[in-house]
Amino acid sequence: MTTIGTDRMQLQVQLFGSYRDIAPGSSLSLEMPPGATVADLVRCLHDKVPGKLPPNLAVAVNRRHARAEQVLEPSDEVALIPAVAGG
Amino acid sequence: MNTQVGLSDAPISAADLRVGAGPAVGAVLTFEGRVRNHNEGRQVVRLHYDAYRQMAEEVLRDIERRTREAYEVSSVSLVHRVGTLSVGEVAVVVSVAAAHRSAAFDGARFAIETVKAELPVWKQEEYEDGSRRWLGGNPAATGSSE
Repeated sequence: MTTIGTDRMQLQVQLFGSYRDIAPGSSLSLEMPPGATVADLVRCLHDKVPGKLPPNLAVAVNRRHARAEQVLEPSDEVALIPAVAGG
Repeated sequence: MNTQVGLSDAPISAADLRVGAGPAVGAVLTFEGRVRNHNEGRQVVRLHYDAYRQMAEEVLRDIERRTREAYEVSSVSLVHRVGTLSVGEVAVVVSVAAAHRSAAFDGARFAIETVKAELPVWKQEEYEDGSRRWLGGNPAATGSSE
């Protein structure tokens, strides 16, 4: 992930399972301001692909489930986690 | 004890992944989860498993550790397939060794139920007519939302 100038960060959001086909390459690129939270990211995602994602989204940051208030860093690994269905 | 924990692109089996047993082990229990030919009234011909690989590998190691810590289980193997599987193929193997059978049953049950609840793996059913459908699965317990 790279910081753009001093006031925006670019995040790549990885998509899996039923979300894969939402975007080419199963990834969405977002520009967020510093201090943006997971809740901000979810709002941005809904604006970017309206109607394609469910209202409630589970987000993993650095391979761990993240809370809505978690602040994002430019180096974070971000992914959306659809309802899991292993086994 | 030889144990394995992780995802596999290649076929897996209980025979290959059964945990080793030393002289203190009185029970070895090995579970295979297999692709069956029906679900919710429809004929299934194969399953396509997708995974968030890096996270799934970490979650599997975490489940292996939690199983050993919560039960009197001396060793655990835990391997999940990814990719396309035909009916009858093995999707997941859990194998545990313990001094006593109750710990082996309880530990194996905990491990497979936790895999189903937490592992970031998704399956898409393919039917006889070629159509496909992602299965809903379990909502992430601690996920965030707006």
